Amino acid sequence: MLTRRELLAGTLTALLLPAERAHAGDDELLALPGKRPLIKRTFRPPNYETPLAELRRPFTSNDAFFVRYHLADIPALDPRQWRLRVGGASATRALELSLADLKRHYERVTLAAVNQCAGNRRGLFTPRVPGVQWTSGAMGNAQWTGVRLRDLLRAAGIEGSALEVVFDGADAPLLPATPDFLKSLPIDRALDENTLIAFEMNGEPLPHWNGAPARLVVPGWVGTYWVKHLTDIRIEPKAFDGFWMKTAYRIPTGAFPGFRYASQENAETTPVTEILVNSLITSHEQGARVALDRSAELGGWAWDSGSGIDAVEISTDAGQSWKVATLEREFGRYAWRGFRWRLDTRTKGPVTVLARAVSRAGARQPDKLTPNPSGYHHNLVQSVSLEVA
Amino acid sequence: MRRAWRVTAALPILLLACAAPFAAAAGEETIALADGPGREATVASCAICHSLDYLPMNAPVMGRAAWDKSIHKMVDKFGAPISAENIQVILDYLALHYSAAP
Repeated sequence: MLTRRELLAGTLTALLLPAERAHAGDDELLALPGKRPLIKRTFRPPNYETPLAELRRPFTSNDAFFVRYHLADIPALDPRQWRLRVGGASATRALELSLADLKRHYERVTLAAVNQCAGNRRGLFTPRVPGVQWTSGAMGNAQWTGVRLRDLLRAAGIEGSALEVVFDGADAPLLPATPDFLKSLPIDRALDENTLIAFEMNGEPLPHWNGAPARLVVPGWVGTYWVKHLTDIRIEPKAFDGFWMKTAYRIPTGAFPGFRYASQENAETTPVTEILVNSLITSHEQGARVALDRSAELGGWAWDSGSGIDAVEISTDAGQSWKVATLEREFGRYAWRGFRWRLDTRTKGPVTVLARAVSRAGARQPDKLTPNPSGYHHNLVQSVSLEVA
Repeated sequence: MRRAWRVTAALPILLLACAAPFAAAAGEETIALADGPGREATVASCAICHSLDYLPMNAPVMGRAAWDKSIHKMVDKFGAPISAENIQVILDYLALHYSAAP
């Protein structure tokens, strides 16, 4: 017995044709409906990574943006029927809003921000750890347009007891016993003027696979908080104890810098929250050839949790000396920032380029990884080997 | 989001799981697991909730103890309906065919 929702979901996935397949090394490039071919990590739930070549534009195309789900029941929502409920034990009243209500009654805000999965580059950890084996493409940069979460919370009325705000999306587990994907934010982060409920991405309606018709945008925090297909927001006086907060997405307490989510922390583990300073060389693939005596420029992006990028440093002598790359314009402190570096192509042979970003808060990418069981926060100094020939 | 009808909706999932994974994503039927005892039980149990590419994807990091932990996580935390007998069958299969870690 198929429900309408399941039929809809089936229609979407059935459009993925074998003809759209291609191969690049070990990675399988496949196109989900409405997406370009992306690196398929898993079919169901769908986990697809953006290839490096699609990360060269300042804003990542909607149809190339990475896809990450935990649960396989992903309904195609009708934006006219969709409703967002706001309430909870620490809310004065309950609201139910349509997409038209959001657009009509609340101030519209656009903000550029990196959306990066906490497990981005998990597949690059040594020793390796279990989980989706992402390389560098579980991230992207986009312009997010929507309304401020705090405007909705204030409309519902925030009682003095408010501690956390809990978010639920329409994606659901296939078995009733599987924990549904719910996340919470501390009330202060929920009330931050940059925390949005976005219905547009790069000036277009949100793509289905990126959370249509509306998703949470938590600039500077890892993607797990950016709940897709948002349906329910609850202001609560207690620490939310769902699986995806209490058990998953946690790091050893005190092992990393970044905001400490006090109401969710215990002596052993704490939620992964803010993005750590990081960078990615996008101009050249690993092992690329560079023409001898021809002018060549290396380039990529640097980002952090929102202090902004102060510098990107480059070394071509295994880290003995570092020089400063040219920074490009800033699209906002939560967006990634471009950097460029002129390569020395006068000598034939291999050259290894190291790049490391420094944030305005003074944090610098490390040359040693901090091991953690789930493989989060991979922000090791990147090394790209090139061949001048 | 969870709704009450999901309890009844899960029944056909369980019934169909042995023949073909319910609501499989297009393309996942091309995943062929290694032949051997336990393959059918592994497909029938794991593919209820997720495509089988999770197994080879994680094989380089997995060994018998890691699979034991993983299967119990699926049963205890995610509610996978796997009998005690099948847990052993699946563990033996994965430990033999999808374990590259020492």
